[in-house]
Amino acid sequence: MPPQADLLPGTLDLLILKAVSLGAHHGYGVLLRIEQLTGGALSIEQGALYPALYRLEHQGLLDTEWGTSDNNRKAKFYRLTAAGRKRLKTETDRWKLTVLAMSTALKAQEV
Amino acid sequence: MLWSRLRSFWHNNVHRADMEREMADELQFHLERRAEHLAEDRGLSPEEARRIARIEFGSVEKWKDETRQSVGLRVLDDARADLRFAFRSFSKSKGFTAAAILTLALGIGANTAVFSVVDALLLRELPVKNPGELIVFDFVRGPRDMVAGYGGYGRSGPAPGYSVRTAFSAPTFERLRDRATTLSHVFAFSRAGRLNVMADGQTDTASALLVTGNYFDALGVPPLVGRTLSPGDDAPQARQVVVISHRYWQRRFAGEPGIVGKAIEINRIPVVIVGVTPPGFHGIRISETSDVTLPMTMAPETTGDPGRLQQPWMWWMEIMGRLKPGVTREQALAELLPAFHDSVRESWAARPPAEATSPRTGSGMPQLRVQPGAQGPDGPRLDAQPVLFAVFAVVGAVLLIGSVNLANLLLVRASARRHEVSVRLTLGASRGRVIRQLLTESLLLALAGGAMGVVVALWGKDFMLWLPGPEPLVDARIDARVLGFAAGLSAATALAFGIGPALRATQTALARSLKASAQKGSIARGLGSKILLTAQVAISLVLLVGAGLFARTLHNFSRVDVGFKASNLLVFQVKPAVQDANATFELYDRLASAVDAVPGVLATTHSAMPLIASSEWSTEIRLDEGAQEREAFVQAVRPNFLEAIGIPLLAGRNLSEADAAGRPWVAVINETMARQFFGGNPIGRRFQFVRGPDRNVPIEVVGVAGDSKYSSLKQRAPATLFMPHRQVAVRNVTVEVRTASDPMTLAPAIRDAVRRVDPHLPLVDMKTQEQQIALSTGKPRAFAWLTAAASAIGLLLASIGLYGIVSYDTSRRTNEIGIRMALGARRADVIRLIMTQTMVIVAIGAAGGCALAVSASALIQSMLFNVAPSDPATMTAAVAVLLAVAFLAAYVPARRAARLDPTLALRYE
Repeated sequence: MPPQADLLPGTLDLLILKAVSLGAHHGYGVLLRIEQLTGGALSIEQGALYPALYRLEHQGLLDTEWGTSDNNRKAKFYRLTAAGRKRLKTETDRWKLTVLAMSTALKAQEV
Repeated sequence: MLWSRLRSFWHNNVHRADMEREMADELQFHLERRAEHLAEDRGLSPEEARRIARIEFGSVEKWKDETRQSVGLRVLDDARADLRFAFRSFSKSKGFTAAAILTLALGIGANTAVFSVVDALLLRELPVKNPGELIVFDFVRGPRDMVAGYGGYGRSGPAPGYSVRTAFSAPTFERLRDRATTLSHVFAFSRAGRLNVMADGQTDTASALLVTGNYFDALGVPPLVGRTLSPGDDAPQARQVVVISHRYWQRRFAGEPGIVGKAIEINRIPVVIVGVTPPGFHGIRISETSDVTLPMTMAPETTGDPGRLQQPWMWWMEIMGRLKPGVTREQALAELLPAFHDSVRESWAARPPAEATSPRTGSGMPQLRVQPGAQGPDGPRLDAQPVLFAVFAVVGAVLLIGSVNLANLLLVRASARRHEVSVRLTLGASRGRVIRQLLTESLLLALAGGAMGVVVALWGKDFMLWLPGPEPLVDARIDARVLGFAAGLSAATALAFGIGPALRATQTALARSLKASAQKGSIARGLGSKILLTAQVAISLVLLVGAGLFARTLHNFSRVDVGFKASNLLVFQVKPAVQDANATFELYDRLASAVDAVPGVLATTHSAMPLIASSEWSTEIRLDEGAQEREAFVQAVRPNFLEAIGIPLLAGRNLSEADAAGRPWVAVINETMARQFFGGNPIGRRFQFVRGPDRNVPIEVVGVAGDSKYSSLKQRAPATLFMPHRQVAVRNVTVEVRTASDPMTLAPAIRDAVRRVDPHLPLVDMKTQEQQIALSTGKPRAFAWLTAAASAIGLLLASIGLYGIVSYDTSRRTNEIGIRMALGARRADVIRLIMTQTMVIVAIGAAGGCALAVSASALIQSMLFNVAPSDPATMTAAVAVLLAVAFLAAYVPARRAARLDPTLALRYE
């Protein structure tokens, strides 16, 4: 198992939005997708996924639908709404800005 | 975003079971897939894979709970749990619950009732278009200001000698109307009193308002049926028309559909009904209703003064206006001030000679004001204000006592539940969470109390409406605003009086409370309750003193000697529509002989003014010798008046039928007038009126009568002169009928007799003279009942509170009492110990209450009669009653405590 970093606060929502933006998934699928996207570098508590999913749905960023999973079982699928897509974009931009600022700051040489 | 949250919140709550099931399914699915995954990846057995999946996932219940919280379900879940718990704990202590709810219902109910009246009277705006734009003109009149004849409403003004006046002359109105560019409308109106309305062969009276033709336009009140008045109706040659109110349409015409175009007679003038106003609109005044609204052109007929609409010196109509958008009251005032000043000078220059002889020289300029008019012209409402304030204070005090009881009960419960609370805190509940639970309980109590309070308010408001006078002031309604007030008051009460006990209950240091040692006393034990108790005792005493003062006032009223025989006297008013003086005399003669013919009637007489009915007629007279003018009260009467009414003649002769219009003018004066004006024997001395058409006619004093009350029981008999009605003519009179037995039994026969004399003659307000006297003391009487009820409730609540506190205190001190008794204290010693401690609190409260009562009762001074606000006897009696009740309330639990078996008490924990 590769070394894992703790999740920064607020990043789980962004990761979920990103994962779902790549196609509708059930909860477990979202988890796998995130692991895949991050190369398993971030540790996510499995249970913590659900409060986050429900919160995003509550905020109207995700839509849900009961469907059939690949092994023919009933599962709840999440997909991005238009509002979710917009949020993903603004959050991504903000994240990039933060990363840029942070890395510039940390790269600064002592004079 | 907000919408989606609300929708999701709604959905999750309404379909809560679905939501729970889906969540369980979803997590189950997750675990299964994870297990499959693990089994596949690591080659584990299915059971092992499931076990590891569960371990990885952690507590399913915990995550479910966090999920619920993330969609905002926890708040509601908690509230629901709190409510369930509150209901359960209330059902376990039914006595406490019932006491608390009843207490609050009385307090909140009384306050809600008063609020509904205050709201209707003082806060509500007129039901017209944009009431905020309306303005009212009035002026401040100084002692030497140039106002000649004033026939309007006034009240004492900002400084001694100054008054606020609301009426203007007709030319002033025209000037203001023509010059105003800042106002979109200027309109005028004047009360025309109650006029005779003859319709469908039946006569009755209706309250009437004279208005200028633009009145309805300016207010923005559309007709419900037909049309309203228009400026065209101001033309002198216009057909005479009337607009009636919806209420009058329903009451008098039973909502007759063909009402428009109906011909009726008002004061014998034929008029046509042209329209009906909408149901909510009763006229320009909130506290009065106008049944019929007439064009101002009818003023000469209704006032009996043909020059009304032209005279510049007679000020009698009220003026209002509507500001144009964006214009301020100050701008309107600045614009119209010159016009007003022109009018004042014109009116002063044009004053008639009668006024010119008056020594009141005028030089000052009255000060015009432009006031907000959203609530209509203000006079009567301001009169009601102090009364309502006093009522609010009384019922507020009851609520306060009740709330203190609630707080005390909650405090006691809080102490009793300290153990329970400690356990919950130890088990991990946060303090905030426990406080929320306790506040939920008090809120629930308060809302239940508030709901019952609204029921109390429903009948309570009728009582309130009756308080300020015999006629209901307004239609107060229990509507959304009032319900909102009740709900707000309940919530505020719950929070204000629930937060202390809740904080107290959760404050306990955990470890200490869980040990029984917390039971042992400290000095501060129950200090909060004791302070509350002191306050309660003090407020109860204030109410008791109030009740005592009003009771004494009523007693004093009942002992007043009115100076005539008030029993077996039936009185009523007649308002003939005839203008001619001779026809009036003839009518009254026929009326008197018709009533005299009714079996059981001993005598029939009449007077210009009703007795003890707040009506008075006073004028300035000058004695033949000396130029000094003095004010005397006048009664124009049938010559048999003094005899019929039972006022004794002390000297000289009585009035007689021979004292007719053409004969020398005569008067019988009362003792006070004889003493104050004449000193020696007044018979044969002469005086004259200073003002009016009959000024300078010599009037000879022919007799002296005993003193009698004139307009009120409170007033000492004023200097009064009785003159024959044929010499000083009046149109409307009060008829007094002396009967052999209960006068009301003769009422129908007398009514019939009057109808036979003239079917057009409305007979108003028939009652006995004793009822009239009772009415005149209506306000103190109502307050006597109110304060008596309030103090009884207050005292009851306070003694329940006292009883509860003492019982609770002694039960907590069982141990101590046991030790005392084991060491040799007798029962009497124990009782004395408890009683001393309790009565010290009561005494402190009573002392505070006395101080409070002295300052509070000064506010009701104007309603008291022959008793000082700080009357020592009343104070003493109130304190005695309070101490007696308090003693009893404390003695019962104290004696029970002293009955303890010491051995049991020692073991008690």
